[in-house]
Amino acid sequence: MKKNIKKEILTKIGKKEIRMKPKWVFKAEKEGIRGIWLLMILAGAVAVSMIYYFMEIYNPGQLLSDYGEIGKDLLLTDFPYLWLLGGVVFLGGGAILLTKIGDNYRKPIKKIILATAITVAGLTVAMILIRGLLKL
Amino acid sequence: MNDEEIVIEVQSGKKEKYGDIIGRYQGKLYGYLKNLTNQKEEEVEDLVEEVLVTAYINLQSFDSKKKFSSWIFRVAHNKAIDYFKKKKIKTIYIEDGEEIIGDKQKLLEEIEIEKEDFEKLNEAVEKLELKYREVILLYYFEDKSYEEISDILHIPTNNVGVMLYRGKEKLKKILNPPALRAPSLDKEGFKTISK
Repeated sequence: MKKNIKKEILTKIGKKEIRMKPKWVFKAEKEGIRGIWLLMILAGAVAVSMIYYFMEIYNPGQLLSDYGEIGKDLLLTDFPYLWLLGGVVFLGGGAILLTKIGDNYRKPIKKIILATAITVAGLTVAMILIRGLLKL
Repeated sequence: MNDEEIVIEVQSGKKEKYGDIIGRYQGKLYGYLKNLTNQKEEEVEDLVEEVLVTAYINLQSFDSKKKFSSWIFRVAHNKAIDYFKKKKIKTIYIEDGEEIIGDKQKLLEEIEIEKEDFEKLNEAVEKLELKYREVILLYYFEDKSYEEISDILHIPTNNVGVMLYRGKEKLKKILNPPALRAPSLDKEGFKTISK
């Protein structure tokens, strides 16, 4: 090698031209990712519980048997597509973010998606149960 | 003293100890980046310097429970990707008489080509897509394990094996392209190629 890399870098370090970033910067970054992940998962759970809430109100089985085609049209018109889209986006985003937390990149993507789906499902059930309890 | 112990000392303020890390890694990083980018000596030296400076700046993010060599190779991998993007390099050409450093014997045996046919192998490795080339370089040239490659490239451990297999298959195809089928004459006397 032509360059004396060691000498050049040590000189720059000595002159404080290059400095180590403090540890808290990396900790904040790490916790930030975890925080965004948690928000995404919560948003995903809210979206799924909104769809559940819609199903509860409209009762598709009864609507279709009572009103046939008109019931089907009503269901398709009023369906909360935005919540569905939101749910998919938040679930996907949550799965992508989960691969960036810790050593999760080592795990297969199928496992990551499954873990995200289970977490969202768990949170959704919790939300539905809490809502049921509040109603009582 | 192992790498991780030295890094802990640097993290706790003994900055001059970073010289030991540079001493241990500049050669390894040079070999890896030279093989990966196949650029001129000066360019690779600049890249090695950039890697070592970036590693120093971000040293506090290193978790001493993990392997330092994987961490610094991850920094080198990121720098190489940035370099490719910056220079818009898609195809990499091999310089005449240049030899890839490292033990290639195992790879030669596995892809079933004649021993010591390193020149052919070098050219074939250079033709591989970056993702396969990197896995092959790390496994056969840098002696990294599946777990270490997974840590460097941030891909699932299972995928490392799959990519190695595919990389070797692609190497075989490059080295032994399928022969063209011989044309034959049909009833009217036209040349046809049998399927």
